[in-house]
Amino acid sequence: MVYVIRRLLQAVFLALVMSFLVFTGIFAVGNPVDILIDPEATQAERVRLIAQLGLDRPFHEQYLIFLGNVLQGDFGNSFVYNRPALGLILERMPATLELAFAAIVIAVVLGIPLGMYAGLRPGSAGSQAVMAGSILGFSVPNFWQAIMLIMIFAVMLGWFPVSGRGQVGEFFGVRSSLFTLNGLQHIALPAINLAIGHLALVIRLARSGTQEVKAQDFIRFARAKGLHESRIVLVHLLRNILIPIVTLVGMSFGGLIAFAVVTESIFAWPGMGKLIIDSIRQLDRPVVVAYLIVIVVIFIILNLLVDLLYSLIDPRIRLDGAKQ
Amino acid sequence: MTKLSQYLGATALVALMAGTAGAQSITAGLAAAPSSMDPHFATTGQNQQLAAILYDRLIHIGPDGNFVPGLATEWSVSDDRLTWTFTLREGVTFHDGSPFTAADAVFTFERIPEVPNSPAPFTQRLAAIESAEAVDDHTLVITTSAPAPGLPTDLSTIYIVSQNVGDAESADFDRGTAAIGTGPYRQVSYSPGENLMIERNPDYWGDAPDFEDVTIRFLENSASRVASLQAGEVDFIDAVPPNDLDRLRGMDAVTVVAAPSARMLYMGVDQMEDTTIRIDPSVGNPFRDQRVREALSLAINREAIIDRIQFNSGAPANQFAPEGIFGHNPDIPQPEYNPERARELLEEAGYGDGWSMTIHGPAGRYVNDTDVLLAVGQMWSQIGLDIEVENVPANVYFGQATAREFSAFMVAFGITTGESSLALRNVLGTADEERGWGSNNRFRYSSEAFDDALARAFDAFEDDEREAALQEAAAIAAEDVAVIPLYWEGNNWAVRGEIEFTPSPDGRSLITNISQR
Repeated sequence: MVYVIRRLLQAVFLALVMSFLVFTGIFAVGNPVDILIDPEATQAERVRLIAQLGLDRPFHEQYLIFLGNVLQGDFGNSFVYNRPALGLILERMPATLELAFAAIVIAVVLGIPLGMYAGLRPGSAGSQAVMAGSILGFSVPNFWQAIMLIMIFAVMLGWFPVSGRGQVGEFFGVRSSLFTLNGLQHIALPAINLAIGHLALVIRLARSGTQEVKAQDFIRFARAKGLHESRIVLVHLLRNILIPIVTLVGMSFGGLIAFAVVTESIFAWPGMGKLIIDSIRQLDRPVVVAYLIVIVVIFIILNLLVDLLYSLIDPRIRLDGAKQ
Repeated sequence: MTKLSQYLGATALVALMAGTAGAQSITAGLAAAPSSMDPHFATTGQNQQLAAILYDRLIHIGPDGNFVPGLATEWSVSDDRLTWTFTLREGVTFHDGSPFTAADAVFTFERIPEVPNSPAPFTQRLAAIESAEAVDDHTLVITTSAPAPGLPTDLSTIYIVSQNVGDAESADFDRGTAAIGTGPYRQVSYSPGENLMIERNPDYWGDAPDFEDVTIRFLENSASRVASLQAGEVDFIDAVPPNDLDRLRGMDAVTVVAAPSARMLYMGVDQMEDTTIRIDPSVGNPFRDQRVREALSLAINREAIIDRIQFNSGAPANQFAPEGIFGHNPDIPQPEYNPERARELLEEAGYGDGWSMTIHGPAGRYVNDTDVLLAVGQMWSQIGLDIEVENVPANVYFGQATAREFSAFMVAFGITTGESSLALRNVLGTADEERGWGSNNRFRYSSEAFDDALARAFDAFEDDEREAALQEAAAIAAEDVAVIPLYWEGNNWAVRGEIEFTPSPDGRSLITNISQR
């Protein structure tokens, strides 16, 4: 418990540092006035708007005002939408979460079996095909994959829709497009697009883990004991290759949530990635800062979950700060 | 094929047939999403092109750019030119069934200044109005503090909402509870950044639209916008990337509609002082010499830029207002491409050996902008200058341009009001904060004759007089080569199947301009 609290305090400190870095960075990029204000506006109108947005104040004042508001839970209003920045982000979070979730499921469900297969039968044609495919998977650029997926499966074959989020269904109070057939059709291509790179990594990790573990004594003893092959592979082997994969999945999930920008904009997926890229383009400072703080918090929570999972998977691992 | 793929294939096919067969409902894919559905939040093009189909104005702009009756059937101004009387259309109902009266117009005027924190507010367009009074249900009297010849233009962008809107906030328009207009379509639902659903207003006073339901999807990425049209998921798209035009023209089911826009790209050259930031002080500031500016303009092969970099979309420009925009001057000569003459002019001006400088442009703001700037750099190199080209990300670029960190740079200005006065005032008027002129005059062109002519245009009450003054100002700027005009960007739309699209002079993607063939 102490451990968890300490980690959360670290999170607050990190978020504070982050807010300062982001605020300084985006301040240095330039003044949003020239992008935001209507070029047909009069000079008087411009001056009034600059004052209204608080952009006429010096940097330290702007930052302190911002910080003061954040302490009261107010991240400021978006310059572009005139709505609370945090609200804008949270409103689009479910779409991003479900996309990242679908991608991770694809990566894990396909990646672990394929990787274990390649590790158990290293010389076979099948495993060589899997390994070659995985190299292709993480070396082909994401946006190109996306456009190819659209051209082949949506335009030429017409199996899936080109873009957009489909119908949203409700299940136990959770609203997601994963609960309707139409929604699943819509999420298929973007989720595959997001998954491919991570799938390739999971395959590689599962394979190298399998090769390492299968040569160890306890596997041999298991065989000698006459255990069934499926039990050896699915219980003893699987459990021992999971640690690096859990780390990867945890970090990937954070990355997918934070930086699904390319996929979201190509597939017109109404998630946070599209919002953040628009906001950076328009120097919508409150949204950019709030977004990155949200992302820092997500990463810290994921890190914490990964660490907690470790000790479940492998009881030998003790959490820092727990009783020795 | 597996069972699953067969099934998916079949559903996609059914969806496709449903999309085209009925044609009672269509789906449009627009490149730009609005910042709010509140028609009084921002004057940006993407907001107004949606507001215009849901809400009417007192005065509308006809297809040829003239004023036509909207919610006001006629209007007149008193002899002292301070009191305007509008007769309002009878029998018009709002989307909630309540009747439209003069009180709704007054309510709209009062609401606009109350909309907070807009980056591009409408308040400026009501600045001339001192008071507005509903004399009876169908008579509106507007008083101005000074003669305001621009009032009809201003009112043609004021979207009338019902007084039942009350003190609703912008977010209530997004939710739809406050979206009560009189327009040809009414709002069904809106999902920010994703889509807007609208349906035909059966009680519309004007021509009823051809479609029962329209789904507007916001597809920002151009590759997926085009792919959605190809796959038949949408029936209409705007902002077709020029690179894809030929491919789409080659498809049987698709028709491309192209029209020049009122957005002119130009090179601004710093004319403020005897030195300029990106040229060695020993050279001085060559741009102060009119012959040099003329030479720079003669050096540019506009046809080649349009042909090769814009894929034949757009037209060579010689002034801000293209034909069809009020203030266009047909007597200004077409720009010429003559590098020999350009070299002679440089020689005459004493710059025969040229000079070195870096020219700047934004990256990713205009269609193929980096290539255009590169071409301009090469064309100027051909007349003996030593040019370096630098592209700056758009969000950094405009701040730097305003801070006057460039000597020669590429910008565009788009006219959205149907007439040239704001372009001329903000881009070419002598920069003067107090007077409110030249807010976009980043290169500090300044001409007394130009300012005089433009001031006359702002005071003129009669259309003829106003047009003559605007034309005169445009001619002076062209004569002076105040900026080096490049081209008017092209607007391109594509439709699929049995529907057609008629572009309007403002270049907006209005759903009401889509009709059944």
